[in-house]
Amino acid sequence: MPLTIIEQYTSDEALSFELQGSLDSDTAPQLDERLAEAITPTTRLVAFNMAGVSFISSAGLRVIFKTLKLMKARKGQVSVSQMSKGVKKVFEIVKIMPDLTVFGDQAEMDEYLEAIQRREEL
Amino acid sequence: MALSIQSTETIASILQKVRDHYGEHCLDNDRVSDCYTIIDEFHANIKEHVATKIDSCQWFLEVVCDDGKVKLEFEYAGPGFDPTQSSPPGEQPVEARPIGGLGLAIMSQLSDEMNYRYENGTNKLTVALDTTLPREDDPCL
Repeated sequence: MPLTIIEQYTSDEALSFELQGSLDSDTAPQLDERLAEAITPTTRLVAFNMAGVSFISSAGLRVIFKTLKLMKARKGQVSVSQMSKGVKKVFEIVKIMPDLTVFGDQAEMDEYLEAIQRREEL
Repeated sequence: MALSIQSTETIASILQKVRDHYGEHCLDNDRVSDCYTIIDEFHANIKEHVATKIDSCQWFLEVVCDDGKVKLEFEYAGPGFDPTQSSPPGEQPVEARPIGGLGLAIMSQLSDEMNYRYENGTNKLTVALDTTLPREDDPCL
């Protein structure tokens, strides 16, 4: 299953992506490259809407994990929303859920991103 | 009959082969994403640790749906390696943890049972997952 990466929101501090397809050993490098292009020195939040992710393996997790380590080193965060039961289970196995900001739905994530945008505009 | 898979194949083509060979409904249960993840972990390990030593290689997969379980039976020829001996991920903070080395732990923890044996130069790994009761029209029955 191919991976489609839709950039939903970009600002100085925050990036938001909607992922559709599988995040596996074939498609993970695609996300890694996209993030490498999109993340700037001022990025402090990277958000992923996972509603369209059918399954994830360790290759995909490594990309999320790498992004999380980078953001934490900057006192930033990685957020995820709308994970399926199967995808959430894999995140729980590798014990990174406590380090992620988890949103129940896209609206909640949008609200948070809008708050960042309002703060940036001040 | 087991599916023959080359280490050079994409995971998308492997999963399509599984669906074509065993039927769309064979993995149609609440563990389907776990099965896909396990197959990808196995394939990625073959590519990284087996195929690189002898260019490309072949491995075999049989999917057995039986008595409320899905069994993924993997086989490949090569030096013996027991993936059931993997350690679970550490408890240290994310900043201190290595980025890699998660695949075998994921395989192990997604499965309900993992059995490994090495016979005549062939690694044989069976990963079993309990499933919800299959439907009466399930072609695996």
